[in-house]
Amino acid sequence: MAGHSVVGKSIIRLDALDKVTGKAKYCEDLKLPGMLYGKVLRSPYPHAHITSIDTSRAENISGVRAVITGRDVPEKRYGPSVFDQHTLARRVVRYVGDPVAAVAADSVEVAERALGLLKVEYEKLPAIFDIEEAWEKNPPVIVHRDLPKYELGKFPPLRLVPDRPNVCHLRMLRHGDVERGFKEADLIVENKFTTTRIQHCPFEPHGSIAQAESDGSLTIWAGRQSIFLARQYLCKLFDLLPSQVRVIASHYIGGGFGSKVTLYTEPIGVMLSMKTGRPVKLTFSREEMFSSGGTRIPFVIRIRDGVKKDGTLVARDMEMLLGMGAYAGSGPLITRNCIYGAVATYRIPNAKIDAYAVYTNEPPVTSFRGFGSSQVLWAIESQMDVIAEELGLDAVELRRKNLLEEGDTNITGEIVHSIGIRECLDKVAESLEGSPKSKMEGGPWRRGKGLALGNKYSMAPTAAVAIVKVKGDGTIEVHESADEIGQGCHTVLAQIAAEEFGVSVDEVKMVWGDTAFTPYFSRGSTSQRTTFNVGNAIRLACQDAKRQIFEIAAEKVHAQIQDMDIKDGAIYVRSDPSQRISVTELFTSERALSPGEFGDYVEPSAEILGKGVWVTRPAPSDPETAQIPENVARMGGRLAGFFGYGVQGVEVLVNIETGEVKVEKVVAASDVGYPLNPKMCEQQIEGGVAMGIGSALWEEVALDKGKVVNPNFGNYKIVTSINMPKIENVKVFLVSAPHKEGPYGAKGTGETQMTPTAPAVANAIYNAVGVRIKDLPITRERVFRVLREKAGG
Amino acid sequence: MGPFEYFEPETVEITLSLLRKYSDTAKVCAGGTDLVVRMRKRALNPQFLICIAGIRELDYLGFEDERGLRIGCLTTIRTIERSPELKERYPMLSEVATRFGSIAIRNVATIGGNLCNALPSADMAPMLIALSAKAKLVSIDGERIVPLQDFFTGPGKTVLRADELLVEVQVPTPPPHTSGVYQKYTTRGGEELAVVGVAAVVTRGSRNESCTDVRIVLGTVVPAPMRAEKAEAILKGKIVDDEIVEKASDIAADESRPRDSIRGSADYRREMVRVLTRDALRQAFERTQSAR
Ligand SMILES: Cc1cc2nc3c(=O)[nH]c(=O)nc-3n(C[C@H](O)[C@H](O)[C@H](O)COP(=O)(O)OP(=O)(O)OC[C@H]3O[C@@H](n4cnc5c(N)ncnc54)[C@H](O)[C@@H]3O)c2cc1C
Repeated sequence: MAGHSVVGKSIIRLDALDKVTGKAKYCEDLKLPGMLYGKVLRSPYPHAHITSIDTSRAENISGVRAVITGRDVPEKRYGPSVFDQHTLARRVVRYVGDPVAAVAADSVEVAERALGLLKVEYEKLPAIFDIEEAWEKNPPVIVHRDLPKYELGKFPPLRLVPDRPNVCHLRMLRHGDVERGFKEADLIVENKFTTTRIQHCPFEPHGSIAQAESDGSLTIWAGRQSIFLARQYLCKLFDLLPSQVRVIASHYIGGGFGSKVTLYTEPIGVMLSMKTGRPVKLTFSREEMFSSGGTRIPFVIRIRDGVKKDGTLVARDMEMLLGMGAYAGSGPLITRNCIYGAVATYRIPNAKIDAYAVYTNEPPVTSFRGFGSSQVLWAIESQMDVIAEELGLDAVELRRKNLLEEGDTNITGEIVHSIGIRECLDKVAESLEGSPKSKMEGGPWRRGKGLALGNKYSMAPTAAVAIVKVKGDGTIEVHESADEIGQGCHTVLAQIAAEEFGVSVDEVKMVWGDTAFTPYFSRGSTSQRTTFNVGNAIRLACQDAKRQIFEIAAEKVHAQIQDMDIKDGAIYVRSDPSQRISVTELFTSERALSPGEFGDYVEPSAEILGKGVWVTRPAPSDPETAQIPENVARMGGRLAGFFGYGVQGVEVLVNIETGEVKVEKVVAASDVGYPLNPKMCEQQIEGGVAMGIGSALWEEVALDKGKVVNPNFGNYKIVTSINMPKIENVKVFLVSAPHKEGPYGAKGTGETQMTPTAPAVANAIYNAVGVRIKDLPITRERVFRVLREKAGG
Repeated sequence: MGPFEYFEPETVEITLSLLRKYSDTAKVCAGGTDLVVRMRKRALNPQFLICIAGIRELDYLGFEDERGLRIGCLTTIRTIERSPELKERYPMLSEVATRFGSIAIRNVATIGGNLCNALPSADMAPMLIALSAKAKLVSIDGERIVPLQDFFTGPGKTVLRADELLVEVQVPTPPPHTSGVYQKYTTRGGEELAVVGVAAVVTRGSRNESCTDVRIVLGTVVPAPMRAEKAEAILKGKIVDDEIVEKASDIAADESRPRDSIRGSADYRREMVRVLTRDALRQAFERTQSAR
């Protein structure tokens, strides 16, 4: 966009130097005087009664300061939506890894030794693992017998299904009349797709330091996403007021990808600190990350589509079961939101979706980059290729024919705004065209290409507040509460403040989040909301600060406020730029130092503090149908903050003898609204592609009767640099469909980027060897077996 | 990790007397890339840890014409990969090393540790067995030489006694017109343990195309690295063509004993033995055409 000097530029990330030199501080680097180390004993059984716990031997080791069990924790249950979880299991354990007891000791080693001396006796109960079986009307095992009596949170409002006792939420969408739609269809295609559990695998495992203060308040240093959400959850659990809980961001956070929204370490740390009076650090091991640190939610999806001969979609019916594991966590919210993945891309006159949140005795899931959209799109985008094949149409043309456009109405009744997906599709399709036509590659290798469309909303409601402080030396200090989890949000947010003040980012200072000092940001850096919401709040805060500066300056240079502007640290009159005064000149010291010296006091308000508040409100929608009332939609009422879009095309080689799949080339286009920092947008795309390839081909938290059997990087296979296509074969296009409310038109972009990858890979595999894999991950053995079946062997 | 007492002996002699003294309550640590992982998982809890990494005299590659190659137990996989002389004389061994872990692991992982740890997936074992290598084991009482073929007795098990140290691996000079190929199959590709490993070493007659000697050694899909002797037998003395290679590969697959594991089902792994053995044999024969 013309006229911008800082935003829209690929400036170097503010954290680059700290990170490459190892100076960046993470939670693990923090050490407080007198700090103890906590460790957690976990259930070895997927479902059992605890009959006794003997802590005496553990308590007697020197260096052990506290041992706590279910008897010591609040009777009250907690959770983000269903209050179904105790800090430590009180009577029943419901998954392998359920916390049973915890120890605080002088060192991690002593704490671990103490765990080994705790004696717990269990009485095993029957357990349930299969999502479909658990969803049934008369399931053999009910995971939470007391579910109907549990307290339920208000967001999202939950709908229990009385005759399905393992379901804690049913989300429904009804648009048009699907049965009529299927009658009009020339072809009906029905398939079942599944996705598996994958872990976020952040560099830094979950960790926090908890300090129970003597006045009953809590201070928490946490390497997490969303300090305010943590405060809210902890207040609820420990019956405290917001002013009594202070959550401090432990500076940098070593990656989250959604996993760090949940409370994992904090409640147990608090209990240990309450008992010892000392700060307690609790950090997960990598094994705990896999067994108890949350995974992506596995889906079972039945999708039935009705289409006309020419490819026009006339009906779509989806039934989705989401396997939450033993505690609901963010499961119900994912169940609510996942349907948006089916909303954002295609024009469908008649649609019906039912999504169920289902308990099992597997480890609990949590939010994961995509928040349900990736799984829904795995089904939809695979299905679109199946339909194209059955109709004898080109898969790209089929998609083009059904794409939503600006101003269209989607299946929630929302009027579509800021949709750049057609341009993304054009770019990717054109770029894939150029690749070799031949499928034979020498020996057992076959070549194929495929693409898929992706989208991801940004959740509303969201409230973000920013405070901008203009310092006597001209520095712009920005206070906000986004989480710097590696996505580089501080850089982009600093760019926005710099742009508003016409300075370089070097003049901007970002402040680390701390609920006692930095202003409110409702759910933190989740749901790709930071740039859009905090970015807007910062713009408003800057404008507020500038207004104050202009008021003060107007008197000094005798000009009208509306004629003034600011650039490079000086306020000037637009019509006569020679009339100017520098920001530093507005300040004096209280002791009135000689002019020119940096002061720290400004008349009349002492300090220049700009405040900006940005709230994204969702339109109300009918709980039975998910429809937005027509009059609300016409007034611009929206489902979410915005939708980001992306299209990815891949070229693969498939070995017909072994089933091996190599991703040779990736073309990715994404509509980011406006790229505030193009390089960082590209990096989000590249990272999303890498994570997407891993999730497509290898990643699976493997469970045997509820127990994770691959809780390490030896057997849980994440993507490595060796598995990525060569960098010159990864092509990225940024597309801009500006959002009228986005800062400079920008939308968030972190999550969108993983949503199309897995189906694109599956479509390319089909193109190469003619087999359709409907279950993730597409392991070599799976490809091999399906190829064998196809060959009739 | 549990508590342990730690020693850094400076000589082999001191090491051997410590081993005699503490026997199976002690563990030798070389690179530690297997040992430390297992100790952290508490799969192993030695009371005494004897770190031999400082005994530099155990880190060498020696070439002698009649006795062949001698590799000190502390030689790292990275050294084996990079030695120009090894690349020239035993290219099949340097090639195995390139497929081993990541560079970071190869920099510390030792050949002695790889063999003594005795995982069925140990990458160095199949090729060394195929090359008729022997291990020199020493204790306070003296030394013994054991063919590697007889060294492994099961997963994690060897003939090594608790008071013995493996000090050297000896590899005879391969006859002329001999080539070897190692095929390693993994579930992802790159920096992983093998799901199937097959080493094939082939010797061709000096004037004809027939195969005068062949060794096929399977790794991972057997409790301990094992020669596929029936497959070898049908190749020996034959003119080698696609048909006979396919047949030998089928037999090798039958000889393998894979188990269902998280890394792959038994059936699938057996199928992969077939493909890998075929490819290893084909490539090895091809290479004999240019081998010295
Ligand atoms: C990330 C990672 C990747 C890996 N990738 C591979 C791979 O691709 N292929 C592969 O084969 N392995 C792999 N390994 C396993 C391991 O690196 C190798 O087996 C390595 O060669 C072990 O050598 P070390 O020196 O580290 O042994 P250590 O861990 O020090 O010792 C291993 C065992 O051998 C014993 N021991 C060591 N030396 C002697 C000796 N001289 N005499 C008697 N006993 C001895 C020790 O007591 C111990 O029981 C990997 C390991 C890791 C952590």
